[in-house]
This record gives sequence, C-alpha cells and structure tokens, in this order.
Amino acid sequence: MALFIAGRTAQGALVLLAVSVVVFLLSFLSGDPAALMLPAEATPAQIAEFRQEMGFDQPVFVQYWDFLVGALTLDFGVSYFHGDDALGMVLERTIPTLQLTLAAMVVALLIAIPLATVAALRRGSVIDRLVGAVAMLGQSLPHFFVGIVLLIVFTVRLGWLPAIGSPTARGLVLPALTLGLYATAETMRLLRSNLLEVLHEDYVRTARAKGVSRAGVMVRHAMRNAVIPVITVLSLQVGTLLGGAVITETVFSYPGMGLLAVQSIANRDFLVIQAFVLIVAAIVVFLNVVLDIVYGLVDPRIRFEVRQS
Amino acid sequence: MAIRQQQERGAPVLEVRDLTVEIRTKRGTITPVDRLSFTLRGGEVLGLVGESGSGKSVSMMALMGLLPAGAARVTSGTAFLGGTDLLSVSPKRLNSMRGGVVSMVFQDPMSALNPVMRVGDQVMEAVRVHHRGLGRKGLRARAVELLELVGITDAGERMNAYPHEFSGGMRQRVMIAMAAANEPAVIIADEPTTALDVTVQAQILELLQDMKERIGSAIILITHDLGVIAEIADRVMVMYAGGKVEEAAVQPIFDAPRHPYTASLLASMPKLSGAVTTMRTIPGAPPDLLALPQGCRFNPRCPLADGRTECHTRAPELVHLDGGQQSACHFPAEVEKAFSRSSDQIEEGGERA
Amino acid sequence: MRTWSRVRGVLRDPGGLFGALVIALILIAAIAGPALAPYDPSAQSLETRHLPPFWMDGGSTAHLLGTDQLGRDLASRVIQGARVSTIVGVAAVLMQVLVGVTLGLLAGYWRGALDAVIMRLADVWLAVPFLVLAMALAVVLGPGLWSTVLVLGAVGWVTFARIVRAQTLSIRERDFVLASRVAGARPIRTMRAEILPNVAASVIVVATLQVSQMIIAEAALSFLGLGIQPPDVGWGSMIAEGRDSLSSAWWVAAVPGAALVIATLGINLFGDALRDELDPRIR
Repeated sequence: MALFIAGRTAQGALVLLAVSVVVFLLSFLSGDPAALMLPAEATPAQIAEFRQEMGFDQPVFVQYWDFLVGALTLDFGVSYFHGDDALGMVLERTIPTLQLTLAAMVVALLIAIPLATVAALRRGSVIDRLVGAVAMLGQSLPHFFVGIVLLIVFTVRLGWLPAIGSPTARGLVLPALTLGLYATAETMRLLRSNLLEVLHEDYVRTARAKGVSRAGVMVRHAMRNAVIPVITVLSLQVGTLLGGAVITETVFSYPGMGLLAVQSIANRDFLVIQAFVLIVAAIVVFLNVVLDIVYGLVDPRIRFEVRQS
Repeated sequence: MAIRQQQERGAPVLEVRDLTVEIRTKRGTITPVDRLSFTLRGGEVLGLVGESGSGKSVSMMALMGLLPAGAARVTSGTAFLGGTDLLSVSPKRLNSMRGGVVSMVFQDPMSALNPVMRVGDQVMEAVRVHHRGLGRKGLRARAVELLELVGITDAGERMNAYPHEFSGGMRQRVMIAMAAANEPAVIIADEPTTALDVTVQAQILELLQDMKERIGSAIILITHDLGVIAEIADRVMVMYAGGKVEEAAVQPIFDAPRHPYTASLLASMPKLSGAVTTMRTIPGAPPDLLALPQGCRFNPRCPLADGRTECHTRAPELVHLDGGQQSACHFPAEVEKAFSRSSDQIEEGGERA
Repeated sequence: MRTWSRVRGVLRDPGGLFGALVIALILIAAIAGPALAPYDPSAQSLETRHLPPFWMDGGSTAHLLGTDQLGRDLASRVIQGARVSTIVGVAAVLMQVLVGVTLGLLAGYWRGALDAVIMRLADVWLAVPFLVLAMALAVVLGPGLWSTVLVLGAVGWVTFARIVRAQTLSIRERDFVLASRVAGARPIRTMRAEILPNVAASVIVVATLQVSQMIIAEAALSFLGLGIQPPDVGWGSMIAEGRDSLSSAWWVAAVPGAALVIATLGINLFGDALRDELDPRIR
C-alpha cells in the first residue's frame, strides 16, 4: 500500500511539473511576455526596463529554472497591478472557491444519487426516461446562463437571496446550485449506468436468492459497489467544477480565485493567472491522487493486488 | 414450520405444474420453458439435465422469482411448496421464502459472492434477513457454525476475509453455507461444480449430499454432466427445448433410456475404451427457440424420426412407462435398440482412426 | 444506401428529428442571416431601447423578441449570432479531430515511447480544467473569432486522442489489420485504410456532441470577455451584455440564452440519435 501511495504521488508530481512547463511557455506564445504583462499604454522604455527586471532577456531555460524555483518556493513574483505577492493573492481566494466546489458537489450528489437509483431500479420505465431527459437537458444548459436565470428568479423577481455570492449559507445557495447543476447531469448518467452494471452482477442475484429485499440489495450490495464509480466520477468532476467555478464566481461576483483570475485578465496581471492555473492543476492532481488512494481503501481487491505485487 | 413437517422421505415437497415462461426478444417471443411439470420429494436429489438453452436454469429462476425483470415472465403454472404457490404469492412473501424455505447455490462462486463485503457479513446476512431478532453476537455465532459445517477451518478467523482471498472450492462452500443457513426445504443447485477444478468437484458434491442428510433438504441439481448425476442424484429429469422429455430413477436412465435425446446424451459421455478415448457429440445444433420444428422438437437430430410422419407432425405427450419412467417419445421402445447399434459403429470408427 | 438508411434511422428518433431541424435552422441562419434578419443587427435606436418581446406588455410585433440597451433588434442579433456559433463550433472541432485523431492513431498504433509521450501530454491537459486552460490561452492569444477557434481547438484535442488511441489499440490486433501488416502494407496505409474507417463512427458521434460543447465554451469565453469581440455578434457576449440590465430587462440576456440552450440541446439530441444508429457500444 505504501508503495502504491508513493507511486501515485510521484506520478502526480511529474504531471504537475509538466503543467508548470506548459504554464511557463504560455507567456512566450504571444511573442513578448513583457507586452502581455504590462498595461497597453506602457512606453517602450518602461517595457525594456520591465523586461530586464523580470529576466526576460535571459535564455529561456534560465528563465524556466527561475520560474520553477519560484513555483517550488511558492513565489510567483509580485503582481504588477496590485503590488502583492501573486501566489498569496490566489491562495487567499482558494478557500472560498473550494467551499463553493464542495457545496456544488454536495448539490450534485444529492440530486444525482436518488434519481440515478430510481432510474436504475426502474429501468426503461417512465421515470427512467424522464431522468434521462433531465440529464440530457442538463448537459445542454450553459451554466452561466442557468446562473443568470436563477438570479432573475430568486433575486430579481422574488428577492429571496442576495445577488452577490459569498461563502456564507445564504450567499452560497445560488452559486452552489448553479455549479452543482453543472455537474449533476454527468454524475447522474455515470452513476445510473454503473448501478445498472452492478445490479446485473451475480452477487446481486445471490443476495436476492438469500431473501434480501430489493431495497436491501440496493443499499447493502449495489450502492457499496457503486461507491467506487462515484469516487471515479467525483475525481473526474473536480476539474469540471473548478473550471465551472470561474464562470459561476463571475456571474455571482463570488470572491473566489476564479473571479480574481477573470479580474486579472482585465488588468493584464498575467502572473496571477499563471499562479491560478498552477494552483487549480495542483488541486486537481492532488485530489486525483487522494481519490485513487481512497479507491484502494474501499475496494479490497485493489488493496489485495497491491499487497501481492 | 409446516413445510418442515412434510419433510418425511418420499412425500412431495415441491409440486410444479405447467410452468411456462416467455421471453420477449427483438425477433419475437420465445418460450424457454413450456408447460413443465414435476414433483420433488422429501430428502431426494433430483437431477435436472439438458443442454444450455433447454430451459433448466430459466425454470429454476422462475421458481425463485429471480427472472430478469421486464423481459421474462411466467405466463402460467403453479408451484406449490408447503401449501404456498411460489408463482402467485406476493413479492414480499416470496422474498421471505427465498433463502428461508427454498435457497439456491449458483454456478460461478467467483462472481456470486460480493467482492467488497467480508465473507462473514455475507453469511450473516443470509441468517439475519430471516431471523430479525437475533443480535450481532448470535448472528456471528451462527455464521461461524455454518462455515464450520461446510468444512472451513479457522472459521472464526476466516469470517473477516474477503472472497478473493478464498479458493474457488472454498467460495462454493461459503455459498452452500448461505444456502443451508435457514435449513430450507429445497435447495436448488445450478451447476454447482461446473466452474471448479475436477478434484474439488467431488468434494463439493460430497458436501452437498452431507448437508442434505444433516438438514433434510431436498435438492434440485442442475447439470449437464451425467457423471455428476450418476454420483449423487436419486432421480433424473431430462429437458429439451423447454420441455421435459424423460424422467426416471437414476439406474433405469443409465441402463435403458427411453428417449433418444437421453440416449444421445449418454452416448456423448466420454468413455474409456482401451487406450482410446472416444468422444461423441450429439449431431445437429440445439434448437432455435424462435423457429422450433413441427411435431417433436427433437426430430431434426433424432435417428428414429427418419421418414416417420408422426414425429414430424405431432408433438409427443409424456407417457408413463414401467417403473415410474416417463418419456415424451412416440417410440420409446425402439430407443435402446437404435442406440446400441449406432454407438457400436462409433466405437469401431474410433478404433480405426 | 447504407448512409441513407442511417439518416432515416436518426430521423425516426424524435430527438434526432428535433435535433436535425434545429441544426438546419442554425445553418440557414448562419448562411442566409443578413437576408433573413428583419433589421441590421448593429443598428442602434435610442427611442426603442429595452423593448420587451411582443407577447409582453409594451412589446411590439415590430421587434418580435424585443431590443437591447442600445435599441438593437434581438431577433436579428440572435440570427447573426448563429454564424459565430457555427464557425466556432465546426472549426474548433475540426481542429480537435485533426490533432486528436492523428495523435491517437500514432499512439495506439506505434505504442511504446511515442504512446507514453502523447498520453502523458494528455494527462497534463486533463490536469488543467478545460475552461481554465482555454482562459489562460485566450489571454495570451487575445480575443477574436479565430483565436477563439485556435484556443478551443488546442485545448480539446485530448478527448479524440484518447478515444482513437483506445480503439486503435484493439483494432490493430484484429485479423484483418494483422493480415494487412503481414502483407507488407506501410504503417501509414494500414492506419488510413484499415484502422481509420473503424474508428470513424465513434469520432463522428463524439465530434457531433463536442460541437455543442464548443458552442457553450465559446459563449462562456465571450461571457468572460475573452472570446468574440464587436462587431462580431455571439450569443455568449449578448448574454454578458444583458447581465447589466437583468432587473429591468431580463429578456436581453434570456433571448440569446434560450437560443444557446435550444441549439446545444438540438445538437446533443441529434448526436445521441446518431450514436444509437452508428455506434451503440459507446455510452
């Protein structure tokens, strides 16, 4: 098991290293990183000075080395616009974003698990088809538009909830609902097909033959085995949710790192965007590694295989 | 309890009449079980033989109420077990009977046990659903007792193991422990040894017989292996294309089969003659249930049917012969002669080759 | 013959039929938009600002779907927006297919080191959420129609690469491919003649569904101000413009939003019907 954990961690670290290269190279794509980071009205003299200050006149690999050392020591440089440490700014906004993502995940699971269960149990029924239709609709909805509709209904029309999102109970409702609905359709589809697969397993038939009721089979046998796919679904959805959080935060002016990134675009604050991309990637990779390990804990077969090897 | 009392040897335990199952497929409706009737008696092992697709498993699943929902359904018949008709009883009541008065052992013990649940929990579950009052301690004690009964050493410790830590034979022992957990009147064993090593097969058969003696259950043993039948069954029922074609005690079946299909099955058993093993398969393919032949369903593969209009126009009824033997053939008396001749030819052919 | 019977199969499915109609409407709007639109989509008129759709109080049949904050006709703008969605959806997916199918074929066919490199590259792409990577790239490339296409194409190839690689891995072991290889066919020929036709069905289905995802992604980028720029009109930027007047004139955002939902729903339904017809194996 320790070996398994070490292996997955090393793999994750390699991916992150590669992400850092990509993020670093991004700034060169435009031709001149200095022009990218400075306000449009900067004079040529200012640009030259900035270039030297940032080390853009150095060879590329020297620059990458500086960048990597910076990233490893959690120093992405100082935001040109705010004059603050870029990483610190993003990190400060990370917690609200994670709160939003977590709340959205709960929303998605609360909707997806019962619907997928009913659909799988009554396969081919009206309910199943209805759930399928809802999932199809859900996948076709651009969620920033969903957020706006929710705003129109619950804030503008009914006045029940604040227009500005915040990491408080009332302030989280609409953003979490918006982001949660975004992940619900996919979660529901995957869960349903996984449950159907599990329900066709021989051991489910065995349980029925023992006299366990339909509901008992669902809870004690099917769900337990379907938890594993749910973990997979969640690990796939983490990235989707973090990406969606950018939009959701913008719609609701929710003070997370996505909103900060969007504001930084307007301010041409590229260092903040770089830090943001790397941190999001770090969260995704970290959670995937953790979920892989949890996977190993839930499924004794994997644990066994690892022990054997 | 009522059922328990009828368990004297020889008294009918399960009486199935005209069981018919239909399955709707894309190409049409098929009838994998067609008016099947049989009686299972107390304390006996009834062997159920036939090729795959003959309806043996489907009929047993129908009795258990475990046909796949939606596609397959029982369209007629009764199956009385201790005064209750398994086929018309409410789903809830049937649920309480499953694993209680009638239980099942499946073919593949690799997949029939839940891989993420401890073995002990699975055995305990089999007890718990029928003994709600029993506490965790009592459940555990009973589960250990059951595992010991089926010959698992260190049962107390093995309770905590997962199925993948068991060998195939051990897993089948666990399955049998679960099936026997509530001392059912009937245990249906669906090819319980097919997926196992040859050496383990004999042990499992012995265990089944042993459990039968201990708890007094009657057993329906589904198999395609006549060797297994010879070893453990008291009576045999042969199925072909959804219907029963022959039924008899074991000895008469092996000595003098009265249906050409049974005779073909016997002829296809591997035989050791001298140094050469001759293996014969039954000519022709199992019937297509969507396009059954007119008259007797076995006629395309039957050596007796050549040139006989009767076989091609009229479906034979089950007739009762001497010694309680039943056969669904128009010419039961000719079976023996026809097959002793042809099997001689085959053996000669085998030696020549 | 086969193509025609498949088309009929898709159209027999109610969802497929609806999807086909929606797609036809979008294409008509994209091609013949200027001729169809009742007004010049960028013509401003300060007297008729924030006119509601015709069925509401104060609405008029002169502007069926109402007007925006500058008095521009929303119906005309929605028709105009179909062009952006079509170009971005089709061009971005074509680029993804080109890059993804090529890399997937190479990785699945040659395996070994090349496969490892391509798949690790895919891991990197998957570690950064689609929208986040698209956003960062859009910042670098700058806004505009074609840089949006480039951004979405560069970010989305992974989907195709993974599908094609997985299928190639199994197809290359099948008898007819082995036969062609034993017969001495060059790898490029084997890939093109034997493998590509066999992955085509899945690629077509996934590509269809991906078009709707790219239309949504373009709208999202434009909503953030990173996609389409005036004078181009896109549904995403229209929604963004309508955001400021939600409380007084909600329809300014809702009309392009509805167009976006109908378009993506139609394409997804069409893609689903196409999947049932072409490739029932993939989920």
